[in-house]
Amino acid sequence: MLKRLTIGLLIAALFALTIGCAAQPTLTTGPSEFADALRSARGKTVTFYGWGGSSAVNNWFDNIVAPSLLAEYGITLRRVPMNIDEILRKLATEKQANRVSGDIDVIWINGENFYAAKTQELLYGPFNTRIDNFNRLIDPQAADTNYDFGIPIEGMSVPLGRAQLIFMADRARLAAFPTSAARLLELARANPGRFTYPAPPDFTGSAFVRNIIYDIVGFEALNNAPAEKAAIQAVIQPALDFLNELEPYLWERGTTYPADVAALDRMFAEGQLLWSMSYTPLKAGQLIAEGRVPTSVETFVFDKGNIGNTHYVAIPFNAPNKDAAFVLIHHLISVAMQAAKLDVGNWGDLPVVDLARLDASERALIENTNIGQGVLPMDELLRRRLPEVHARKVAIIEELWREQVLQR
Amino acid sequence: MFLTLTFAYALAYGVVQSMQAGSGAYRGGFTLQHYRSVLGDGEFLISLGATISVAVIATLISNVLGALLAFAMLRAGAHGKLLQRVLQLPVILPHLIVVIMVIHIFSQTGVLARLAWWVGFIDNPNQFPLLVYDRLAIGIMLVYLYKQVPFVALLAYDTLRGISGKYAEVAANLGASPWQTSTQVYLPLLKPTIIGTSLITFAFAFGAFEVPFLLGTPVWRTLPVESYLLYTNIEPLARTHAMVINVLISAISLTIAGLYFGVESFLNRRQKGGEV
Repeated sequence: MLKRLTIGLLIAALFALTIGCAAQPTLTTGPSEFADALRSARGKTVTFYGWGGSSAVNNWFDNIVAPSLLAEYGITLRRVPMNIDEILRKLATEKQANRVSGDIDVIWINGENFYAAKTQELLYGPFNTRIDNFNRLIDPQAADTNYDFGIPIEGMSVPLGRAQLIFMADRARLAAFPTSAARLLELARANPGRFTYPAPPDFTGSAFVRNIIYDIVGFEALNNAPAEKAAIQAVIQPALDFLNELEPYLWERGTTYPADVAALDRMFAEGQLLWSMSYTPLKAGQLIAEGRVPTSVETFVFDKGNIGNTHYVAIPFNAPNKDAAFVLIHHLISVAMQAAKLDVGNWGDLPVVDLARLDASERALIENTNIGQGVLPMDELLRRRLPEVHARKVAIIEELWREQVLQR
Repeated sequence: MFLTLTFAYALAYGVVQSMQAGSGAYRGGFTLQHYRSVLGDGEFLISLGATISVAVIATLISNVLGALLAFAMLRAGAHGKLLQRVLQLPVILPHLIVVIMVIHIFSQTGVLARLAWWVGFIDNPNQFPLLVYDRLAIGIMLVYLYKQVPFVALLAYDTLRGISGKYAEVAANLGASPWQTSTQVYLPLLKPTIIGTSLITFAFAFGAFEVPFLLGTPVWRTLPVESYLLYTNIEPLARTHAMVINVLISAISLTIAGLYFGVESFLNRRQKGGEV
């Protein structure tokens, strides 16, 4: 009993420590000139924290970025796989403990996590215009240079890559593709039970529902609505009505939905469904290369466009090597690294560099990259690209879908 | 010791987070308001009802079938012993493997559907009844039964074999039919085992995450799945609500465990008392 009491007290003490009050730490400033960063960062080790759940992504970092970073700038890359929510918890704890020199130099972040990090002042910056390649290669007017899921970036992060929702169908089995919500309804009517989508909050299914909303009421209407449930519902009601109208023609007459996009892919690969979708724009090429779907499978998007999002890199407030962080980010968005990232054999992630700013040889590097079979070219995807709305609206839409479509 | 400490720490951490007034990095005082809002949420109540229903049904079916199977094995003599070896396989298979097996066999493009198509019962996958990802949780139930019926049968079989044959002989001498021997001699002696296995199967089915996550319908979700989805939701408050659900799951599971030890020690005492 006494032992248990001691343990209890110990745990209580641990909590008391973590709950201690927060004071404002004094920030160390990074180099003001990129040339200074290049000079002082040589010989240092830069620590990158980010999601490590994809072997393709890890391979790009470890076998392409790291060796070239060492060869060109004399900087060693240390990659620590950690989920972003844990990273932010770690930073928040360090901020509370007033720890001015942490151990993370660069983090991989976007959307709601960026919002959380920015509002909790866990990031260093603004710093983007102090990166050479940012100034040279990135379009400062591009929507995703300035907004991440509707959240103003204000120089606190730099784009690393772009993803986009795409649809896939087999030309041999479906002559005309559903390139709008209305066409989808027609085709579902003609082929009952052969279409469906993953139930939100599955990431892809949630994006699909927003894509339908964009197609029916437009991005602007949703973007302008305040992030409150009643206001959002008033704006998206026509889209919810549409999804209910579509429901009886879906798989299992819409009484249930696949829980995730993997289930959708499986049903598509086995011929049960006539389409599938992905937030990985070059997915069709990967499925074809794996032999899971025939080579007649093609990628398409809605005529009015498809949702895309961008993922970013940022620097924590207490990064110990801000100079090396600058150089790593500079290197990550270089044309060579972006082209290697685009290669479907490496990662298959869309570049963030502005093609109009590249010289002929740089453009050729991007254009000659192997993006696989059955996919849409990058310029076509970018032309049909719609921004994400504020992350808080995403959660509200998911809730509305559940109440108004799934449980009706 | 280490196990207790890690468990206690995790639980205490969950309790603290579930009662935290602020969100994210900024911590405020303690509050029970999150418990009120979770317990007052219709979605939570549906989840709680569904989770309990799935756990109760899985427990009832697996314990009845398991006990019957054990009786059958006892009757079968040497064949029963052979079956005992065979039944060890499902018990040691991880749930995840059984989930994949169930998908491969029972999904609309699985082995059974292909067989039905080959025989000519159906001509496309959508005509095959939905047995996984379905609203009746048949897929989830299949996994639990595949794992739990053999588990119950093996433990019950061990108990039955341990019961001296003399009881049965005495009963037969006194003119009991085989049915009476089974229900009035063996069944009462089997009771402690079945109570134990029931509590274990219930606690597992109640707290399991991966099976309902992989085989469930999105229309309703079990508490562990609900908790996971809340935890990954972007709203800072959702994470607190996930902690509330985790604390409630732990409380219910601990109650079940308490019941198990309580019933066990009660039965032990009674048995000993009877002998004296």
